[in-house]
Amino acid sequence: MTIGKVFSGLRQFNSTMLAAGFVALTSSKAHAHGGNHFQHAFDDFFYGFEATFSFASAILPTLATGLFAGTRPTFSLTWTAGFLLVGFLLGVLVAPFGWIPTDMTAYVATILIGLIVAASPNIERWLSGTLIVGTTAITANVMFSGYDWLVIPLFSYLGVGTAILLGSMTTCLVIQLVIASVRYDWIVIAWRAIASWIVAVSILMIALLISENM
Amino acid sequence: MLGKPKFWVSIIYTFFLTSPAFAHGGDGLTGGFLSGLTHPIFGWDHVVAMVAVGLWGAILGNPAIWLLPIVFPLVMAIGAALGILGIPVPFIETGIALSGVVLGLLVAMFIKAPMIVAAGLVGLFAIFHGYAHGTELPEAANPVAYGIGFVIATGLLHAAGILFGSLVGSDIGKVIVRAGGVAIALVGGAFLTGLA
Repeated sequence: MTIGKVFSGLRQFNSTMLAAGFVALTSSKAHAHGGNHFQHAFDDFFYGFEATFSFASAILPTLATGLFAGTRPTFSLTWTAGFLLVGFLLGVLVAPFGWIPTDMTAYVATILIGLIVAASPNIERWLSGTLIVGTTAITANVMFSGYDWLVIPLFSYLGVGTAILLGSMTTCLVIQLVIASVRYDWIVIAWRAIASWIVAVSILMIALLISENM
Repeated sequence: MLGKPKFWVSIIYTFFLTSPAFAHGGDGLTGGFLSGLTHPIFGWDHVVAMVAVGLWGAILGNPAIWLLPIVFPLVMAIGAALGILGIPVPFIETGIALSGVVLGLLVAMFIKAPMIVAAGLVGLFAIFHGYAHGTELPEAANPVAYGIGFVIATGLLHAAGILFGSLVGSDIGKVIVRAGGVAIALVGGAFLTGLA
């Protein structure tokens, strides 16, 4: 992928995503207005956003998905965002049933997708899309498992969704931009090494999870 | 802009200039992460072996140059998992010290082993290093952050080894790399014999 194509994709996405991320991360409460609906909505949104980045079982698959999408630009950024959105909605739909174990599944999915990035085999487009959808669904499942639909405030759903999409898309964009602009072989190797670190941390998390239950 | 050296120099310069955020006490996540990050860096037995992995990868060339630094943290995590779960593995300290001696000698003698042998040997030593970290991990203030810190430190030490190993392109560089291998073997030997 050339840097021109990346920048073309960035033009579509970058402004909106970065602005959304910047606002979410830097905005503070509007203290002049006490307890109005907007305030509650923002609190709910920020609670969901912040909570997503408080769980290793949500952060690791989010990063791994972004790494996967970034190092294997099979799809345009629009399609990648679409897959992430579908995965998130799928996770939201499935989570209340509690069918899928949360943390363990998330770490296993992270290991799987991280190993794919590290080994970099040729895989079909449909499988790449399925992996992005599946891992994002598993991440959303981590956040919402066990809660009935809409027990959580609607804006908290939005907060979690924004965090997952923003986390994966930002990782994907940064990687594509660096790969396109820094033309050294080692830059591709570096992403593979980082994928192996994410896998290594996931293995540790599984061991800690098992030891806590022993 | 991203392709310009000035841009990258300014980014790296900024990282070095930044000071800690004093408003935050450094408890919890920071303490755990920093402990994990500094543990392999301040332990010479770990440092020499991990740098040697990068050095040997650079000597072996492609694909070892990227495969060994991927194999090591992955297998190290499995070793750490054994440590966390309390599954006994014998000769941990001996294995760690021996890794310095063996990898140092391989670097010093420029031995070009087949990829499968190199990956197997590095993986074997990674078990010992990982186990040593793993036994300490559940006691850390924040095991998650500690684990992330020591995995990143390991990767950075490999990168340092690869960077050092890139000198093999010149004659004088080969001598320096061989000398580095000898130094690594000596440090490993000091740990093995109990001198260090």
